[in-house]
Amino acid sequence: MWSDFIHPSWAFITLALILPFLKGTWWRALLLVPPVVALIAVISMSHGSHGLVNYLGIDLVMGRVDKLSVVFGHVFAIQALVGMIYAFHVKDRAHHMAACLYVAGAFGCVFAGDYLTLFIFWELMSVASTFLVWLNRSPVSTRAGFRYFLFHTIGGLFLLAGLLLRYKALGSMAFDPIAPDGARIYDYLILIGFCVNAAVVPLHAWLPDTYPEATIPGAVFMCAFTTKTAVYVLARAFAGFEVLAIAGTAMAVYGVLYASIENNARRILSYHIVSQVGYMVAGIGIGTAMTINGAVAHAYAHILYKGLLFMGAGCLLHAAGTAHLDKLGGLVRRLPWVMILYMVGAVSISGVPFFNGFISKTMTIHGAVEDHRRIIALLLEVAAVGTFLSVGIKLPYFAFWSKAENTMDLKPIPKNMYIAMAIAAGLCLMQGLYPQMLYRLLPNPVHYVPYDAWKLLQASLLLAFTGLGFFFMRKVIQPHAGRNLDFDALYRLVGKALTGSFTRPLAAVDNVWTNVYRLVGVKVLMTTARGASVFDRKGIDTVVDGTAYTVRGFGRFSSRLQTGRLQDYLAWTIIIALVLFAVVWAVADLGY
Amino acid sequence: MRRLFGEKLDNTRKQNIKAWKTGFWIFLGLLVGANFFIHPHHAEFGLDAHPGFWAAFGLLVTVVMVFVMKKIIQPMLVRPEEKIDVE
Repeated sequence: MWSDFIHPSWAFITLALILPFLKGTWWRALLLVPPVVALIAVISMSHGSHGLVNYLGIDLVMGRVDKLSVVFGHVFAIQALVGMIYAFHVKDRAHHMAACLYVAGAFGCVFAGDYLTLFIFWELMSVASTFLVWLNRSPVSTRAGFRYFLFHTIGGLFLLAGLLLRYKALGSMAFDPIAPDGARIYDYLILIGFCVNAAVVPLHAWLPDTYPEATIPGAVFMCAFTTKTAVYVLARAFAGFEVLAIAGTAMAVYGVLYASIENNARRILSYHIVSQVGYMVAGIGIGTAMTINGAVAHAYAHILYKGLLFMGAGCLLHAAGTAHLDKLGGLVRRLPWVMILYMVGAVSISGVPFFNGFISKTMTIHGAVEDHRRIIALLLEVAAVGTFLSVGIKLPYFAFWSKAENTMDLKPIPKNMYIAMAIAAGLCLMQGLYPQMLYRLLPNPVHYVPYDAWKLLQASLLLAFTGLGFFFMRKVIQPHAGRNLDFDALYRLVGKALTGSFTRPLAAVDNVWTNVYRLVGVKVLMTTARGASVFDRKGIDTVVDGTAYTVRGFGRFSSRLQTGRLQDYLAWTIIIALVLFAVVWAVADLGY
Repeated sequence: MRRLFGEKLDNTRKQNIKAWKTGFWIFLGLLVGANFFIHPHHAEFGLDAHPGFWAAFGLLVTVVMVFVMKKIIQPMLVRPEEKIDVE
């Protein structure tokens, strides 16, 4: 069976493992190998279950291949290639290792046929992506990375609790569709775990909090894989769950509302991930063949244009040193190609005809209308207006125009960044012009024609008059410096209260104990010490000295491990966990 | 080359700003005009049977969204950038 299936993760994991040992800079050429291998693997794999492993009596399926997993694998491979080209100039090996492991995790999740395999790759993604934030190496990123990791760990624990309870109840780890009316509490725990990664409001705040603080290429990777892997698992297991239809619609609107008041270009784009993923979650929640198709098509298109938008914003940040719109402006004269390539992404996300957002977004909305979900369809149109307003007009207007001339120092932008953007832009346009490129990959048969006179006119009316609205309100919408409170403020409040509930009683106990110790303990101790010192001088010294040297030696070794940095502990945990897995497996296999 | 291209892009906008604006208004007029002849297959929301519905929808949503979010909601939510992170 293995001959029909090469797991796309292997090439990425292999590269991540050998990177630290390669000398010079030639290794950068290797960065392009895993995505190409993955693309070939995805195109050539045959449908069915591959990579079956029995681990401690549980049947693991590493490679479940069907239309749904292949379409995600397809776009993941393409985006990995685009991302690697965009990151090509980066000399930091750790960054490439983190990116490789992150992408490997995403592929692992998509092809996982059981919950245990899914969970392992899910956590790999979470850890590796945290490093993509930390490697930005600034105090703000470090703090944001901690918050990100904490939040995803909590999400992962929900997933773990759900899958263990499910295993106990059903005796199966199989990762299959769940019927909405038969869902039990453990299914909902799994759903919560998935919703954290899908950035479902109100579990979304990690996303706009963290993505703007990641490294420039790191954010390009992150915007593609985490939320879309979550969309995949939701589509796989939770199609037709009404709660998702409502939550998705709420996300779509919530994201655009926040984006309209944001100042940081990368944070605007982050809120639009929440919004765009909202369309997908809503489509999955409605659960008809057309809305599922719409959700999957939108995920595919979204990965391409959102990556392009993050690459464009990344170019601004790279060149100008800031992505804050109040500090930018007037850059069209100096970065015209960044503007043009960014605009391709912007019109794609806005659903302008002949770009790929149009052929996927309208499919989801049309599916909602066909299922007579009028309010959902109308709110998705509101989100479409807000998307064009913020990403299509506001962001480029205040970055590239709005000021007469920009005289700030600009760092030159590496050529590979332009090449990556051009590839993404080309794909966005090609898919818009030839919808069959995308439609033939979709899980259900497609009975939808994106281009007819009315659909073109409706989109043009909606977007053109959004433009007019912007023209009227351009003074009001002017971005200002500042950070808008979101649900993360609430999480922090809860966190602080929780910490307080432990630390305050402990501090009180500690206070009392200190007093008692000072009054009673010290006197007792002094008396004992006097006695002991006599005994010590006479007999013990010689024996103890030898032990002391040993203890000191061990102390030195362990102090080297205990750096006090979560980053190190995390790396050690993974290494130790891998070794433990291997040992348990080997021991179990030998029949002990 | 890039510098020249950028200047050209910027200048075409600046030097012909009037023409661009007039062109935009004409474009909007044409779209609404076309709406009298091209209709949806069946109106799904009731009001969308009328020509110009989606034009009014786009304009209204934009103006209300910007006004409410910038003038009413943001003043309640915004904090200095540094403070919120360190807290």
